[in-house]
Amino acid sequence: MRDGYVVCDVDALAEGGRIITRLGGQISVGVFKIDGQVVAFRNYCPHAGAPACEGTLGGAVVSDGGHERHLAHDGRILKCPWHAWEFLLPEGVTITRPEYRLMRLPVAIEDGKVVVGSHPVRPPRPQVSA
Amino acid sequence: MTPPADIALAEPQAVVDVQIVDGDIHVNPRSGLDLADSLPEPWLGRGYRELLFAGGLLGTSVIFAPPNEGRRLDSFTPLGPPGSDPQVTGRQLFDETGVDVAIIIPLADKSLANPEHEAAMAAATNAWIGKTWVGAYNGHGRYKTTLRISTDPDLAVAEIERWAGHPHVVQIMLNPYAGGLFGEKKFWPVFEAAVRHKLVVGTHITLQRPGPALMSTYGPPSYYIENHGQFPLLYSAHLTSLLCEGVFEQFPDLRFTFIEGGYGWVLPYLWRMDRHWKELRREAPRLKRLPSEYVREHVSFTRQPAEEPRNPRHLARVIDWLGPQSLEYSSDYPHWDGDYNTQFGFTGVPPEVRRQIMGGNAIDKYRLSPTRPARHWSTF
Ligand code: FES
Repeated sequence: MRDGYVVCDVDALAEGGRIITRLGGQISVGVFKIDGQVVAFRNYCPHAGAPACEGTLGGAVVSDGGHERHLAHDGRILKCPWHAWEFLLPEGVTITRPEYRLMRLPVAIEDGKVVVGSHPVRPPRPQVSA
Repeated sequence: MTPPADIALAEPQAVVDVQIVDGDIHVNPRSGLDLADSLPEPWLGRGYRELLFAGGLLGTSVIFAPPNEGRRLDSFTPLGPPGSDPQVTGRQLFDETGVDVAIIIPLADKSLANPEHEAAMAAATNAWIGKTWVGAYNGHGRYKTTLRISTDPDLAVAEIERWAGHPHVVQIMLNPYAGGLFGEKKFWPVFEAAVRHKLVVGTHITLQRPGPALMSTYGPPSYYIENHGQFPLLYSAHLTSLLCEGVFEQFPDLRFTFIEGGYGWVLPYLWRMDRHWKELRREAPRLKRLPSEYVREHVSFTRQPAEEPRNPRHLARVIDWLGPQSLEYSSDYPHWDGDYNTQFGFTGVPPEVRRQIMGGNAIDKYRLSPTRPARHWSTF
């Protein structure tokens, strides 16, 4: 990738794991491995600018009605450390309003290394049921 | 903590303008036992210590579940709870958020059913803050504090008298679950003492007092979000009482702060009150003018947790309608729902109005110095 930054060996990132780093010592990013896919985001919450990638990874409790409630998306919900907005990974969209999303960065695996670019990509809008 | 070189090297006496006053931060002892050491006798000795402390602070009741135990995740420290380490607090509040002066609202003690017990806990809290956050940690003078008082007015006035004249005490806090509406005559001695000592009176949500603290206006809610969303209802009840009982006529110098209730609700509420005043004022003769006039002259609201309309420009309309003199910035550090981005919520707001809300109003109300030392806080 042109203008990409090597972040780590691809083996250094386990399933469900993450690395927080700065591209070129400047831009703070979070790199995650979710469902076997490596994704990277700016470490900046679209709500009010918290280091969103440093939040907890878990699930979201949802209900299909009545007394029923269950945990959904377990291990795929990143919760912002400030006001707890919930981002669905690997897409990086908020579970409540998918138009709010983490700024996603391009990722390539080159020679066994994870390479992350600094110019955001716009991911496809996913279907989120919550 | 290494201060940025340019700031650390500032002349010892150099000052900069205070631009951001944060009207609501919380600090904590590393352990509840730190607070116990400040308890007045006889609450400290013999059996009472166990009564008050069972390895922590009695009165803490976790009924609702705010995210991350109610605090932003990055404020937890290895040494103690969020808001207990002046290094972390200084970095996150002064360096990262850009706050110049912060008003402490102590929540370390809990609101209690027994007013004498509450008075002892308030005294312990005030003494502990006096030694630490507005004492040993405050060489730069950037922390100001709010006195905790009992809901018993006599005990409250005694605590106010003890602290009157302290250079960093700027406000007293009435627990909003005070066992009555704030306008009631029983609270007037507290207002009288506050005015006499040039202290603002404020109120801040607490959850712990047994009984109505956890109630909606008509029954026990099931969820934290129900309680959190209804702070304005609690505050509007107290504000209505202050207005209708004529408190601001009786105490023309009284300034009152509603902390952590937001402000989007205030204007529609005042529209209703102004209308009804014209029709019903005969029954409340101490309310001599339009309710909105008293509010604009005497009452301020800290904006956090700020309302977030889909179109952020709508907030600018609300500020314009209400008048910027009634609004003040507050972060609520280190709480989970805090306002840590000082650019947030000002879309379409003129710069001079923003300056007023971020600091100018609070400087006037709390009689703060318009400047602070230029040197980095960590060098004091
Ligand atoms: S800054 Fe992330 S939820 Fe508010």
